[in-house]
Formats: sequence, structure tokens, C-alpha cells
Amino acid sequence: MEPWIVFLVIGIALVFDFTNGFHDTANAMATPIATGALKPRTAVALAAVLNLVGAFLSTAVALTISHGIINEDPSGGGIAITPAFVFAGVMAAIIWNVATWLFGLPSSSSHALFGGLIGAAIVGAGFGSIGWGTLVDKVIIPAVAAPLVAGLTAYLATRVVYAVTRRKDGNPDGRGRFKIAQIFSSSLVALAHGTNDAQKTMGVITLTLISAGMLDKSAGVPFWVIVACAVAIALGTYTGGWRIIRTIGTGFTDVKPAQGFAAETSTAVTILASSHMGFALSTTQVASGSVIGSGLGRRGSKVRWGTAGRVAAGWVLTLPASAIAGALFALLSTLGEIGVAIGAVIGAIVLLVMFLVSRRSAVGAHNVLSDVEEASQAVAIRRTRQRKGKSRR
Amino acid sequence: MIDWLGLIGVLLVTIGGALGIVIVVGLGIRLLAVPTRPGRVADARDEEEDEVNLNGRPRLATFFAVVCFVAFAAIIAFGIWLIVPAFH
Repeated sequence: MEPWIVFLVIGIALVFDFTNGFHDTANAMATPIATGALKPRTAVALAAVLNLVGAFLSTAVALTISHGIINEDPSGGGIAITPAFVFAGVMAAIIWNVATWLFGLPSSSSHALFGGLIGAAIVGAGFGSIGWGTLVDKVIIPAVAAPLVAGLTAYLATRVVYAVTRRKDGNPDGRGRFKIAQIFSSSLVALAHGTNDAQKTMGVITLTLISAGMLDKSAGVPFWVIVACAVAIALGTYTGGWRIIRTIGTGFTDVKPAQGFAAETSTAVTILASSHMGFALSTTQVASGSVIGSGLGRRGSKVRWGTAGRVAAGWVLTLPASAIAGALFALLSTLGEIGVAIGAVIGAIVLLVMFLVSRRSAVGAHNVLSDVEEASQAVAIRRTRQRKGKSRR
Repeated sequence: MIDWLGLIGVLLVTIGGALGIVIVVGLGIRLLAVPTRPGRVADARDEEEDEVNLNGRPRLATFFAVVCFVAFAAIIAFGIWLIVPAFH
């Protein structure tokens, strides 16, 4: 394998890491931004720092991305996955991440990456190279369980938190103070995210280096890989996927401080409990489930099921769509080096087009909470230029 | 094939943990709100009101509120301990 393809794959993997951070800022920070507990810029900066720190904390699961789901070890009966196929899978994941961002859909970056790699592996090595049982156990079932567990927990937590703080005498209950507590609960989610998600990219890069023979098979994750991945995910987080923040923060339901705290606590506890009990759940799906559950739990709040339905449809599509894209890029790669180069150019063009489309209705820190009605439509592309927000509510 | 036991375990631990945390923090915040201006009747906007009249709050209420927040700090420390593999 030519070295330039390895460098291309590393570059593309870091771009994926960036989109991963960018996509997932909302999981931790959408609700504190929505309640005004943190200013939008402050929130994304805090999340970025915690993701950066988190990325250095562990490399223990950096290689799980390939183990089990794709049998990459030739001696184990599988067929070696070349850097060209890793390129195809990761490129597909990036395109799906950017496309879902364009529609303001919170979707799992892990599922996009799994899907892309699975599609590429099927083209490269046939259906036999996929561990279907592992796929069902580790991806499909957790995907269904995540929003349900988090949603039920957040529903109960919201009921309890309002019951505990309710005043019978009709005097002010001081629930605005939950804004301070929100900062801590959402920070915990951001830190947990950093320790988990940056490792996916570290795993992909390390795997590529090993498969290209540039790194010993028994070697750990090189330090420069850790640094590069940490910086990429932190930069992505700081950029802030504002469209997704808007969907989670105001699209599902209107979030109040006590409710936001209940939702974030549910998210943090669900992620920590599941990852420590060997039943890892997707952060994105947990966070979305928590917000919807908390909306059901607070009296007088409404859940916008239309938005929730579109997000759920995005979840169902994530794996097959990125698998198809991964398979197409992998087919190109079978042409050899020229195919990989063509794939890189096509990928870059697709991303550029989506970026230009996004400029027609830009969402940023200044208008992330501008209007509730607009927020409920955030999952549809609007052609009209966005009204300047009247400032945060 | 489905690890029902694992899933139910996660569900129970998650619900227990989350409810414990919101009760601790909720109690602390409720205790801080113990006294208010006498005779003042809240309207709908007070549901999320920041400002609470602190005059005349019993010391015991303040004390137990602080106990609640210290407990919350300990829970956060435990969360960080869980996140950082080097600690365990």
C-alpha cells in the first residue's frame, strides 16, 4: 500500500473525529444552552476543553471499533481490511454525519462509522467478514434500548425533582438555581463523551497503521495519534453543531432548569452505568431520550413528536445509509489507487456542496434559540433566510 | 441472544442513581427556598424564579442545604472517578 493512502486515511479519520465532536456537542450542552444556564459560546468552550481532557484519559477501548464487528485478522479466517477500505468506510461516515447535521438530526457518529466500515467490508471481503451476531448485540439492541432507558429515567427524575421542590403555599420555589447544578451535570456528560469518542478515531488510525505495516501489531496507540485525535474532537466540539443543539435544546420540547438538570443527570447516569456494566449505549440516543422523557415528565410541557419521529427515522437510516455509501466508496477503491483518489475528490465535493447549502440558513451561537416555531422546523431545510433572532428567551 | 438481565440491571441502576441525585440536589434547592416574603403569592412565572427572599431562613435549613450540595459534589467526584480509568 502506498504511503499516501495511509496519510489520506489518517487525515480523513481526523476529519471524522472533528465531525464527531461537532455532532455531539449537543448531547451535553443543548439543555444548559436552552435554559440559559450557560451562554452558547461558553457552553461549547467548556465542552471542548472537557473533550480534550477526556481524550487523554483512556485508550483502553481504542481498538474495539474493529474487533468483533469486522474480522480484520487474516489468520482468524477473516480477510485483511486494507487502508483503502478504511478510507471508504470513514468517508461514508463523515458524509452521513454532515448530512444529518444539515438536517439538524442528532444521530450516532458510532453508528455512522460502523455502517461505513461494514459497507466497505462487505464489498472488500464479502458478507462473511461481518460479525452479524455482534452487530445485533452491540449496535442494534443498544440502539433500541438507549432512548427507552434514558427516557424512562428522565421521566421519573423530572417527576421527582418537581415533586421535591414544589411549594404548597404558592411562594417562589427557586428552581432557577438548578441552572448552577446543570453546569456540573452537563460537564460530566462532556467528559464521558471525550473519553469514549476520541478513542474511536484513535482505533481507526492505529488499525490503519498496523494494516499498512507501519506499526507493530502488538503496539499501543502512538502518543501523536492521541494528541491529534484529542485536538480534532475538541476543535469539532468548539465549532458547535448549532443545528443539532437547536433540535435537542428546543426542538423536542421546551426545557426549564429543573427539567434540564433531570435530563442531564439521566444522560450522565445512563452513560456511566451502561458503559460500566458492559452494555454501552449511544450518547446521542441517550441524550435525545432523556430530553424527551423529561418533557413528558414536566407538567404543562409538550413533546413535539413530529421532530422526535424525524430524529428516530434518522437513527434507523444511519446504519444502512452509511453502509451503502461505504460500499460505493469501497467499489471505487477496487479500481486501485486512482479509485481512492477519485473517491477522495467526490467526497470533498459532496461535503463542499452540503456546506454551501447550509450557508443559506446558517445557525450559529447568535440564533441557536431564536424562535420556538423555527426550532420545531429545524429538522427541515429551509430555503428562506433565517430571521435574526430577537436574542435569547 | 438479548442480554435481558444486563439490560434490566442497567435500567435499575440508572433509575436508582438518577433519582438519588435529583432528590439530593432538589432537596438542597428546596431548603434554600424555605423562607419567602410573607404574604407574597406566586404566579405562573415564579415556577422558575431565580430570586428567592433569603431573609430569615432558619440556620438548620441552610445547614442541610449545604449538606445536600456537599453530597452532590461527592457524587460528581464519584462520576469523575468512574470516567477516568486510571483511578480504578
